[in-house]
Amino acid sequence: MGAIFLLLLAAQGSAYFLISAAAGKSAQQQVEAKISEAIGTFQKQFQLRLSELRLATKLLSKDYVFANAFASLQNSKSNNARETLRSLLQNYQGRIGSASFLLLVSLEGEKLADTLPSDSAGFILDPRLLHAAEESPNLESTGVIKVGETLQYVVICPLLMPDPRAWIVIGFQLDNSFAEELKQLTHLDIAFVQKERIAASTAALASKGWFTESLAQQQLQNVFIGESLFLGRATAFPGDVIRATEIVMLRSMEEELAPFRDLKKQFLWVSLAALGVSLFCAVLLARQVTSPVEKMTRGVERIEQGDYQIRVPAEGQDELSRLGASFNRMAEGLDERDRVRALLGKTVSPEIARELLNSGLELGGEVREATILFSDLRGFTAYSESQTPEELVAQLNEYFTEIGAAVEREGGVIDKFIGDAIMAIFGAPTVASDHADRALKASLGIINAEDRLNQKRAERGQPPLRTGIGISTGSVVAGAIGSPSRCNYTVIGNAVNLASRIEALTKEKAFDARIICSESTRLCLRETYSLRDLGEIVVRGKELPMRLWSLEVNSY
Amino acid sequence: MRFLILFFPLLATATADLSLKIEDQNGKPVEDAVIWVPKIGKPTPTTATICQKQRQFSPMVTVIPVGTLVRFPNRDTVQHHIYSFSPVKSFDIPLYSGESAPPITFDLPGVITIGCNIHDWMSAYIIVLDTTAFAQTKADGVAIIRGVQPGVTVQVWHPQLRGKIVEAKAGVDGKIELSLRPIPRRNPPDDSKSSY
Ligand SMILES: [Cu+2]
Repeated sequence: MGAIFLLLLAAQGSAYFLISAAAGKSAQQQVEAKISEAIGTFQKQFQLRLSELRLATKLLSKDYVFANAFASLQNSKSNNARETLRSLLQNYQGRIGSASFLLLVSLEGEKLADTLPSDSAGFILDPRLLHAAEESPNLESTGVIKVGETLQYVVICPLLMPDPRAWIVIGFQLDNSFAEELKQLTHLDIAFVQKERIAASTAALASKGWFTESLAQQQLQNVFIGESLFLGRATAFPGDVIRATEIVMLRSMEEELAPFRDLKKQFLWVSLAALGVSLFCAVLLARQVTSPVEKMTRGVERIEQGDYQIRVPAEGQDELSRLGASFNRMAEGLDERDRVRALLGKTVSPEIARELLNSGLELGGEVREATILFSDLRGFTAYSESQTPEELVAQLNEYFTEIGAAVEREGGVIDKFIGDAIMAIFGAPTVASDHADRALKASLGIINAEDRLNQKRAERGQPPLRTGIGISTGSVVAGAIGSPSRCNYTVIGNAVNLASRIEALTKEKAFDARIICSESTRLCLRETYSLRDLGEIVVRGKELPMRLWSLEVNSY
Repeated sequence: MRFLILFFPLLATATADLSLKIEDQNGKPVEDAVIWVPKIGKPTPTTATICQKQRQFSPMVTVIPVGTLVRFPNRDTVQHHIYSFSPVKSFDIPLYSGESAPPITFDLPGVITIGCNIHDWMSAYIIVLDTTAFAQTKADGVAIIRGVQPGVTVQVWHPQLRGKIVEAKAGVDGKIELSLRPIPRRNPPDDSKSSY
């Protein structure tokens, strides 16, 4: 769930940055287009200004009155003549209007007269301008030069009488107000830069006291002015033969991106809202997924602990519901198996049940040395007729519980209940080498238990019970015996029959024995018991007599 | 070639004429170049005429001996106002028609540039010489100065030398190369002919 959210966040974030970058790029493209357009506007505007200046120079260049005055004043070197010439230039400058100064230079480049301010007394016209004029077909040149502290665009033309007799220089000042004028037209900030120093600029730039980084001509680039970023492009002045000055057009990115910033803010809000909604949806979805999974996990834990009653919700058609249904079926199966196992444990002894389950309920057996114990209640059949079945069952259950416990205490297994009789096995299915001892001890236990039970019965006014026990030892076949669909774990062999026959002998008054065991059992004993020899006896169903022994109860 | 080299001096001695060909830096023949050898013989003043026709001076270049009288007849219907600011001879003949402009005597050697105050593009040149050994190139750039031995240093003037007078000596092939520079337009505004 966290991963999904992070993924969403990443998607939103990258979208934001992509849009951001695209907007930045588009802003840059827009600025580039604006600056390109502005350069066109500037050049057009500047050509207009230039043709105005050219017109003025042309008029002056061929002005007869000026030529006449120049000719007559040039010949006289008096101060008066110089002043007159200067006065004449001032007069013409007044006519031109946009000119910042007028200058008259000899063909050799010597200053003859000017209207320059007094602080530029040492001014020398850049010889490159005169050279360029001499080389041009119409004897004109233009360029940007520094005059005193100001930057001037100058137009040079000859004074024609009709041969060139002097150079006329007309200046046009590139100052802050001209920069502002250009800003009005181009909507860009303007700087006139000479040797990477601003000579004049629009107010926005001048206040920052800025020096440009070196600006590659005709190339848009980032320029930091103070703390703010500008995109700028430098371009040359038209016809500038000196080429030391550039006009730089700048656009503040802050201003350019202002409308986009609003958009960005809006996008951010929309993004956050979308993120919130998606987070909500993710949580909701996750709950739908995790809740059944959590329930299933808990269910598995419960099953691990043995609680097969647990069920999980399994309505619906999705994978989780199907998984839930499978889980429930599994739990049901386990529950049933458990119940069967419990039932099996009741109908047969736990040892046999375990043996049956382990053997996979396959028919077959193995030969074992075991001791078989048969017990039977004397005279119970007659007594039972005077009892109601419920009373009878209750009394039998009480009796079997007592003697069963005595058998189990010695590791014996009750193979079956036959009416009021039981058959118990020692040495199978669990191997025990002292099976004969165990059988004898169990028989004594049974008699003991019966004595205790008889005391209780006497208190209840019930007649005492008297059990006879027959014990025999020998090789038996032990295993699941029956048909493939229904079988029992049991033992078959001579010892089983013999034990049953010997038990019958306890009814004989002559023997006065409650527990009788065979010679084979006596031979297997490891401990010593009080055994009374009953002598060689022909047991029913046997051809040869065999020695039998009575286990004396009182001696125990 | 050997034959020519041997023959040329013989020919020159026999006729005593200097044959020159003037070319510009691009090898093109130069018209209206004036070539002379100073102070040879005794120049005899004559008269010359520079007309104002179709708002142009004609001819554009006039070579005259010192003391020559030049007339400026106006053949146009418009008036002209011709002037010279040249120190050798400056003059000013304001607005005149027909033959009313007074003739002017040029009594000092030098180059005089004439302009017209009514028509900026109009200009003409008068080269006043104190020698009899001079010639002016035609369109083929060739000029022959009579009675001058080859190998002599000559003076050359042309409008596109921009007021300079060049000293030159012809090579064996009789050629002189001039380095000419453009000068402002000299045609009326409605004239489609380009300037030179
Ligand atoms: Cu005229």
